[in-house]
Amino acid sequence: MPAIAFEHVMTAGFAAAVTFRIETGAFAAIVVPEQDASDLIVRLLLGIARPDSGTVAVLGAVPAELSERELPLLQQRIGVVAPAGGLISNLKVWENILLPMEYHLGISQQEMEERGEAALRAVGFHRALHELPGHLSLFEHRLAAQARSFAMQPGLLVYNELLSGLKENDQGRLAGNALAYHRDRPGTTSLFLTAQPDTVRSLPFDQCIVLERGGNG
Amino acid sequence: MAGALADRFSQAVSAVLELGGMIAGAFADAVSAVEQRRRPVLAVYLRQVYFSGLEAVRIILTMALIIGTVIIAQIASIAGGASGFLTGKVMTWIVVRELGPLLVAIVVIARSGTAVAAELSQMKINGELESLSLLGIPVGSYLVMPRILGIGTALTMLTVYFEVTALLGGFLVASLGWNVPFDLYQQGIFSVLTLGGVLASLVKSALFGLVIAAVCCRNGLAVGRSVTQIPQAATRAVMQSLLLVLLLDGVMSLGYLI
Repeated sequence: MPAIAFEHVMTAGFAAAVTFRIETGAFAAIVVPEQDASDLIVRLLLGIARPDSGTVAVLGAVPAELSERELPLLQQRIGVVAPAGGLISNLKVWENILLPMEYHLGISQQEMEERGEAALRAVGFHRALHELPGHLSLFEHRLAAQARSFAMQPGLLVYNELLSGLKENDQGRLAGNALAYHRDRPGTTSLFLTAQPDTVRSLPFDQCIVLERGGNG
Repeated sequence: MAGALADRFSQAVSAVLELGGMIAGAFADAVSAVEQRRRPVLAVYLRQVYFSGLEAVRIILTMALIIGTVIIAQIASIAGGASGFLTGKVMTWIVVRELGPLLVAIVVIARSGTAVAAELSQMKINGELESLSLLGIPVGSYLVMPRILGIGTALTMLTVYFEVTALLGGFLVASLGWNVPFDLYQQGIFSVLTLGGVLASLVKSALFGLVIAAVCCRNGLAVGRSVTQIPQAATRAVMQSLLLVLLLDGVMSLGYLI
């Protein structure tokens, strides 16, 4: 069963119908013509946007057909690292890492903290945990967001422009974290979305899909 | 001219209906948050109560003391220091029925209303509302509901502090200056202070708090992409809150008289 299946998806952000499949457990990339398209794909995967026609299926569900109560159950199985990290500015970094677990998972405080600490160790981020994220660099924002996603142990990890706009060393660390996490958790699907293919060229993808302005490439 | 007026009126009615919907939605979200034990929502609610309520206590108590003293001084200067019964009665009418909820609401608009509108608009411009959606966390139940209920709670509590301090503290200061006798003063207070009157004052405060928070959240969330819209949203939130609070106060006072 594919982790993601787009079947003839048409929507305002796509110039033509888009069709592709990404297998469960794949380490995959989609190269898009511009960043707006990757933002749109993320929104379609999470059911925040709906296609005008065609079907988007994710982890065995069709987000557009889910009720308001069912959609969050799917969304908590998808970890997204946004281009700017997506940390909430009025929460400390540590609170940001715990937030989705506290909101979605009915687990104990101790288990949440253990998961959070393990995720921080996995990404190698230990600085300024009890400060607001305004003090962090873009690289640190993305590291913290990566830890937040890892802590949720999602079935699908989506990295939206994870490596863009960073120095080579920082790109290497983030990509290494993503690859190590993927290898440690068989069955987890990792998807890189980027409009800058140079940034992901060196990664060992199982699948790489190129969306061109006119539709699938 | 008439068409333009009709348009403005229908816009105002739809805005008021939207605010009513936000407040009703906040109560529905609160029930669902309690059922699903959403701890982060409780944390946001408590933070809002702390910021709007606890952190405002000092300024509210100072204001209450000054206002209580000023009113007692005015009554004593008109009716004489020995008219303790009348002083207590008038103080209760003015402070509990009118000034308490109204002045506390004005302080909350100035302190918390602007903060809520500015914070939400900044979060929206920074893409944080989108980030919450990506985490599967609805903005309404995580950001809006705890602020609406938090400010409603804080305003009600602050009104209790204000009224008690104005009635007792104001008396202590005035009794030293104008020899207002306490026994007559408290008889005057209890001759008009009924449980219904106190409840009406608290309900009025809670309503003010809910409306202020809903107006400020609505304005904060309505910004586009430019940072110049943040101060505009805060200003609009303050002006609309003030207008609605004064309107509600007028309507409720009329209802009280009828």
